[in-house]
Amino acid sequence: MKSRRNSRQISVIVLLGVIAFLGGFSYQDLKDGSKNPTSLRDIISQMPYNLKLGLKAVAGDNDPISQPLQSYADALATVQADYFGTIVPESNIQDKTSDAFDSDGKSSSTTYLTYSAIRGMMASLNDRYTRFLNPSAYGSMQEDNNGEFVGIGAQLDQNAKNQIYIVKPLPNSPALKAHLAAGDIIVKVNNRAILGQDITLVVQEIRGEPGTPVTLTLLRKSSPHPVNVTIIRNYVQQEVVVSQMIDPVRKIGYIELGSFNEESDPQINDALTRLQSEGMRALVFDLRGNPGGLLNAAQDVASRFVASGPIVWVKQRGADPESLNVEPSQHNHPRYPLAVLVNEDSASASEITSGAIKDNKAGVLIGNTTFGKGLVQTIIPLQDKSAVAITTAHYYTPLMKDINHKGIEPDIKVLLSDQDQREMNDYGDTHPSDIVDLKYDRQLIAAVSNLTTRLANGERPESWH
Amino acid sequence: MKQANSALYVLLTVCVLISAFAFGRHVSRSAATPLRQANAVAEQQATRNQWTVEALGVKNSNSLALADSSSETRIASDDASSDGGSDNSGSIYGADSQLVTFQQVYELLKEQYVNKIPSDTPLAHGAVAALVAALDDPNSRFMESAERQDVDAEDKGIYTGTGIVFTVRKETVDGLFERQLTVVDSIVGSPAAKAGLQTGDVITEINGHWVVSFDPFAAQEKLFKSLAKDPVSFNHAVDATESKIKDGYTLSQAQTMLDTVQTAPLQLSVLRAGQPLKITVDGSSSTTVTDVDSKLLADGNGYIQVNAFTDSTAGDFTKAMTALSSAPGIVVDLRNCPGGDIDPALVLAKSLAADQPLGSVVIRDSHGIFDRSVGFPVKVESLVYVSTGSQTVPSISYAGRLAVLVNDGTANTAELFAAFLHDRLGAHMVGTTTFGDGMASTLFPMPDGSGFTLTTGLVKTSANTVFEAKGLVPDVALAESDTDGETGLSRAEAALALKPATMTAAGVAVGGQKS
Repeated sequence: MKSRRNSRQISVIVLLGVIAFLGGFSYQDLKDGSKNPTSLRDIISQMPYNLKLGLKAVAGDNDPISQPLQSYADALATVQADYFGTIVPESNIQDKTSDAFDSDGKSSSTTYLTYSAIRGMMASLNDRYTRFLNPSAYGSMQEDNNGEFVGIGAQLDQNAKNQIYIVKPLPNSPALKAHLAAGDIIVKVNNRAILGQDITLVVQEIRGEPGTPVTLTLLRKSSPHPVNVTIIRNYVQQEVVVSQMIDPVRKIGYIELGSFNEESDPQINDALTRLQSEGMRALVFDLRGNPGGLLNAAQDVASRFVASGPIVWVKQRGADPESLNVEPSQHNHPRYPLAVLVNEDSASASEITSGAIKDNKAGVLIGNTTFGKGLVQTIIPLQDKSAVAITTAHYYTPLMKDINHKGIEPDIKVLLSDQDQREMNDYGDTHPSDIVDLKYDRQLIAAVSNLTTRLANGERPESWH
Repeated sequence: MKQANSALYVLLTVCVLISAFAFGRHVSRSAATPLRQANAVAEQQATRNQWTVEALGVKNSNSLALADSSSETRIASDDASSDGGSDNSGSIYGADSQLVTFQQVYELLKEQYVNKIPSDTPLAHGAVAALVAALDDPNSRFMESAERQDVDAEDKGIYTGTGIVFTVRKETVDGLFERQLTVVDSIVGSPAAKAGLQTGDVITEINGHWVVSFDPFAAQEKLFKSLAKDPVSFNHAVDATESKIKDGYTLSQAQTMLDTVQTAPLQLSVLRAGQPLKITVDGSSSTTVTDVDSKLLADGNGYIQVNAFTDSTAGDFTKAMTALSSAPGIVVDLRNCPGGDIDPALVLAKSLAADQPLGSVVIRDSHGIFDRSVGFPVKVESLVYVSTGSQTVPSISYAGRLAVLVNDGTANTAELFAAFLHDRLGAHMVGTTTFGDGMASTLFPMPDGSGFTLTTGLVKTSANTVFEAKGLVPDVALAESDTDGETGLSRAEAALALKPATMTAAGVAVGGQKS
């Protein structure tokens, strides 16, 4: 299911709005399609002692060396020759995810200064979504988009004593198979004590290559002595969907989607199938806090709720808008009376999905105005295993509305006060195994109430045909 | 605050922090469902503490074309290996591959970006500005051509804008590292002097906008940690900080505002000895400083005041010395002299003590001796005047005694010159500890008129003393109240009667900083 959609090789991504994109452009295109693709590198490498001359020679008359390349190369050489100070600040040397490190894990001032210069060049466009991803960040993004990562598959948190403990093992994970349990406290990783360490560093330590072992030393309530457990790292699927029949009487189901990646649609499909088997009559679809993700995933997910026509219009520079349309094959479940929860942190792919539902009157949007990101980024890998995210298109909802900086207005606006938020947080802390909060979550309560009324008015699940 | 296109100049205009950033938010803002909790702490990413950092480029647009680069281009040399571990830049191929990466990004932006990019200049300037800013060094910063011209004009004694000479100091406040935009001096007769800005004032806001002058990560992380248990307040704090930073001026932007022409007066928020003050300064014009004033004092001694080191300082100082040659003693007043161009001081050193260097400077040199205290190979160069063409330097012969008057506003070239008068000519140094600005900076011009300054060395006095950050302690040390005004002058005159200060054995500094 991972590469169901392999017609496009470009990695399409999202993050607070990085959406991938159809008909994009890849490094392969650059190499094969541009006039002078690899000669710059070739010629430079033949002229080791005079970069400037080398670059000029490469450029030729019709294709002058760019001013940015010239300026950056001059500044790089000047700094390395003359700067009286440590070029790479110590904090960047400590942090393996920093710009000082290349894809082989080697640090150098050239890498650091180059990545910094690239960031500055991109930042001059004043578009926060057009940005550089160093090899480490690009690797994480690929994992996020694939919906899987390599590790042991356990959620970790840090308690008040700074101990790191297991919140829960993920389904089908190596952690579950090794019988790790909620509440186990990790005291050592590979025999190295970790007390007081930052959780992100501990996570880095636990993760690694698939098939390699990691040994955790655990404190458990059931054992008087620390227990060593050796776990073989493997691919673990992210859990992006949770679902539940939240009103067993009226048969109102609930599906929450955390982000749009390759796992999103398959997991929603599974959730719908299960809820259908439990007799669901109406659905709450929760996109609150969902920062977005892959554009194709939004198309797949929205197709489950919209009858036909465009899901979204995508417009590149100088081109006509192109539509991504509903895929009828996604209509493998009934069409349920639908309420969609959105808030100010529902962004990008979430806005495409909720915009398609709103414009097609396929459901009622409840909550707060969405984030307002109407831009599409293409993620393009570079030759050194870093990547860039470049805003390559605007998108518009099916009714050609531009939501950039505006967001989508819900049909029913329900705002949460700080007090509401605090009560919800307290409820979550005291009811850690509850999937929903039907006591303080006024947006969810409004959605249930809306669906209850609609069911009372005779709305029912329908077939799509 | 002088820029010499050649040689070294000691820079007062400092600092850069061209990095703004966006904070990662707490993932969960609504229902605290297990999924959201899971996302917040899941093994795959500890989102709660995740930060996104983006360097911001310079926004000015300048359509001048780059014809050529006048700064010499060198491929990364072996000395880079000491910065950042296993450096691959010793290999030409390593550097090549990074050039290709850069060029790839450039081409992708030009071809793919949603809007057509009309000019390459902002891209080039953004790249260089961020590259220099990445050094995290307050003395290294990029300047657009307009600002570079204004800074160049200081060689002529013309100070554009407020007339504040500033530096950035690193201070630790509440255990956190801060960068403070600090007034070195207000140029005599400038709007800043009229408004009463004083040495040591820290500028915290301009027109109500925060000068982002400290390391925001450390401070914000502390704040966020304290709020980690309350996601609601945490999110509010993130929002507030984000907008404060977004609305704020980077150190580099703030400096530009202070030393370029401003159409409206600047409202400055200032910390003076920890107390907040509001000061309004006009920045609509420029101030031309008289570099040297001199007179004969009532008791027959001479008095030479140096307000700044400019192109004409060597000649003006020489004239003054000649005119006062019959006086039994001369007080050289360097109080509140922010320094400036080093060239006139080099000329004066040669005039006053032929073969004695003004001081020395430790610089990076790939063929030098590895210095563990700095982490790269260095060499030491004497600071001596090298005449260009047929120019000759007249020698000054003065038989009387000298005293040099300094205070906490005596900075940079002025400090070096004061030390020279003391070390080589037996002048007593009278006053309070000097400012302590002893890093050498070089301006590297870009062909389109922009440029960047880079810290290129550590300056030492003629007696081989490092004064960066510490300042120089006068041998006739006074309280601040005794140093100001006429009192200071009379104390300096009194010092003329003392036996000449011990002159330090001549000699050029050897080796780098010994470690």
